[in-house]
Amino acid sequence: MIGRLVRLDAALLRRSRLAFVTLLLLLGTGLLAVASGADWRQRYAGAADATLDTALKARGELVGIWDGIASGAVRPTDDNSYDGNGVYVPDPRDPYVAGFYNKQSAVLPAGPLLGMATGSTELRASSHIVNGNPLAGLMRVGEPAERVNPGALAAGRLDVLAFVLLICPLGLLALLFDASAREREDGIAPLLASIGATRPQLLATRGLVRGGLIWVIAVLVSVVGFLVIGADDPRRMALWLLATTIYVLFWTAICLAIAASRLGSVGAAATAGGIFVALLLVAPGIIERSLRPDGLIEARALADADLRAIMRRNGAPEAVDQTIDAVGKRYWQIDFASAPACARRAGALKDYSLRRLLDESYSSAIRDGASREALFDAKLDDWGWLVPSLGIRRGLEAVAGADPARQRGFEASVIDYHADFRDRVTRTILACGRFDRAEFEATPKFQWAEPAVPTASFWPAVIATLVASLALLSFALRPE
Amino acid sequence: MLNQAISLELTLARRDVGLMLVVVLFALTLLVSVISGIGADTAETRAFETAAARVQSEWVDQPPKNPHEAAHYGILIYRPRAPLQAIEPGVLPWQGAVTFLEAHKRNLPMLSPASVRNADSRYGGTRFSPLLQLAGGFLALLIGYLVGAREARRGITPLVMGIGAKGSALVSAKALVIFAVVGCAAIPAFVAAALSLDTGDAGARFALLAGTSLLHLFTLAGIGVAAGLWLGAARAGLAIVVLTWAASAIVFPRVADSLAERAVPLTQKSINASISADFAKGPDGHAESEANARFEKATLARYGVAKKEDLPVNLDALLMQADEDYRGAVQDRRIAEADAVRARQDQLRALAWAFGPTPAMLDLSARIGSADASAQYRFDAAGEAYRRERTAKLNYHMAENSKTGDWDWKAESDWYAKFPAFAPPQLKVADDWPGLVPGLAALLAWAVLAAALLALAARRLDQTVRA
Repeated sequence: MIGRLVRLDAALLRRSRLAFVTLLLLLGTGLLAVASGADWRQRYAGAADATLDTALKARGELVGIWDGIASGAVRPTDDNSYDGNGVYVPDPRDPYVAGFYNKQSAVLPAGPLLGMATGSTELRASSHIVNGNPLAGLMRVGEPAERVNPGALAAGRLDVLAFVLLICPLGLLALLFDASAREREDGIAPLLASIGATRPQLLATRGLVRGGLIWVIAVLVSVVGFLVIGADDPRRMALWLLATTIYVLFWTAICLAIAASRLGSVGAAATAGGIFVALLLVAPGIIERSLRPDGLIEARALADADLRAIMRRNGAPEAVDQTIDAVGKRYWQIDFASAPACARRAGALKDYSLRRLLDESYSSAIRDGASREALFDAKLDDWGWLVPSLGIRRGLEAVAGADPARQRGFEASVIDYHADFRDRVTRTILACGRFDRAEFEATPKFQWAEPAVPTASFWPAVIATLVASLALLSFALRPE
Repeated sequence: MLNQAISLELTLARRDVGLMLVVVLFALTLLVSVISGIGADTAETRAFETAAARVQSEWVDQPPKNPHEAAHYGILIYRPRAPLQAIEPGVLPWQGAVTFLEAHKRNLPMLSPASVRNADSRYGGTRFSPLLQLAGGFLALLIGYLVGAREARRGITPLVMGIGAKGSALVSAKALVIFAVVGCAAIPAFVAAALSLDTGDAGARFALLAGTSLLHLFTLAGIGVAAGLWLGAARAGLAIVVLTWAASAIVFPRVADSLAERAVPLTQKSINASISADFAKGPDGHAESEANARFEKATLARYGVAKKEDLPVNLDALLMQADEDYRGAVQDRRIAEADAVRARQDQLRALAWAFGPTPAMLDLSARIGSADASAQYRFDAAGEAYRRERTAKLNYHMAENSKTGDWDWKAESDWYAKFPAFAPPQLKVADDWPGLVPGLAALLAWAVLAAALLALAARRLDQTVRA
């Protein structure tokens, strides 16, 4: 019987202009979403390239100076006697100077499936220049390297995730809104019953054929997306396809449940439309807003203001000594009053101490903000599964490597890398040492370890959506 | 006749428990969105104002310092709140709200509030105006369709028309009652929002937003009723209407964004590269360059001296200012080029307005609230103008009061108190008028189209009876 009904439904679909247009539009939009997502991936990589170029240029200049020193062609400027006149040639052997001029790049590589989902990558940092004396650079550690036209940011990018989350449900609603009302209103339900077809069988067939068609398109678009962005992580791709499948199943089940409620075509369409608006437009925002604590960004803004205050106060001569002493005792466990004179180089040590203080203050503000955000994330993980569009979106962003936790991880890594870099310079300063070429060449590079697939937000959402789908299906396909 | 038809439609609406329930739920949702928006806006505004006051007091109280050094220490400025921020934040949450102003550099605003709102819904959000335009618009269209199609669906159109009803009265009554029902749902939220308004021209903006929002609702109610009358008998009618709305309000704006970016590409890398290339050709306050030598020569000639030590002014400070002037001109030119590209993108993005009134209304709503992209550009430009004015004042003060090479010269502490705090000009709604015209025109065009569709539907009803 199911086979006959499948053939009947396939014949109906072939004759339906609405179905044809819907499927065609769906496929076209899906492919556009792939192109748009891939375009963002390319721009993201381009922004990182620019950071790398800056670091390589700075490195090239330093290498030239090292070569010049070796051949005697270059004579670096002595920082102690430089009066501001003439060309300043940084001395890479002097740790105070090298700390500033030895620039390293810290780049967050594109997430394994970036392009399939954009997530937070439009809003947060993807690369950063790090040196021994970061100061203002550190203040931008969370800032996006590539800026998008403001007008386009609010709506959100058309990527494969938006296609799956928003557009596939529309396709399902178009094909399934009258899954059983059609036969009932046309008076052919008894005819179908006479050949042994029951309503659950009819609904199951419709769900299988029409839901299947949308699923095929969603999977096809996802696979094309994988190919276009060059995805090579089978586990993430499998998770993506799994979540996509369950999400399509969920909307199929909603449509079938509406059809099983014996509403007419109009009532069914109205109910389906209402559910679409409620689940996709209203509920995610309400859940997110009710869980979000105030003061996430404000803390960072205030921290910036505090830093400015610290800097200005330290411009006062009497405050400089106090700062140097305080920083020396607190962070370096050293008493400068009894430290070697070479380490206590007047202007240079003042700057260095101040920057250390700023580093610590700002890093602390960023870490504090990050821990608040992490708590917020955890709350969303606890409750996000209540709304499938929110939970699945968060899960797929995490699978794609476009989630804010990954961005926060990068920011934390940059701060740690900078701290290591700075400590290396500091040790040399306090030991009255100088760098040599071998140490310059051995400067550690920033390493980014891609975290394992984060599933804290993924599985609860997927399982909750699957359970909801099964409950709706069991309601829709219950025996008459 | 119209009064009778309105009375009939109102009675039918009142008796529809489902409709009343939806309206009450919608009214509560809107009210919650206003209250939550006011809370979030108050917290953010207070924090930014506190930070801005702290930064300014630190500047004023700073110890004696070399003016150019003070320029390098810089200052932070905070974006002022948009006049209707609690109910219409527009694109501002996705844009930097704090700018670090320092010598030689034009920094972009940083710390966008949305950068920490990882799961913030971009599909409408929770603020009142976007919610009203999207969910309220959908509701008006949907109920409009159902009410418009009521007689056709039940096969009683000839009966209704047979008792002497006029098509125009029937159609007008349906559209007006649906508009009134959905509009009533927004009234508690409108009242709550009105009570929280600031002084200034927030009231005028709010009135304009309320007026255009109601016109948008009426337009969609009219389109819904007309569609119901035209397609009421067709089974797929409602599906077509719902899908068309979803495509116009949700899908096409994203497609238009994507197409605009592809058609007129612009990357930060390309902007930065063009600016850096130009910078290399001009004076540099902190490095040697040919342009510096030319500037020195010209300055010596201007003062009629042979050596910079003989200058009555500080050449270093003048060179710093020459660097500022040159870089400022470069940035003005390159940023204007980038803005022109963005304007082209925005024009292409407006193509989405052709598919429904909601994208135009969303754009208009952000503009009325002075929370659109141009508001961000204005904040950026005002910050830059403030930076240049301050930096020039600092550099010239050093130039006029010290000699070349005298980097240890310091301005007295009380001199810094003469610098005013950042206070960007608050535009009146009349100043924003040119930006409002395209959206208003599009909305009016849709309203006229809705009226025309209603008129055609009324004529069709009359003809149906005559036939």
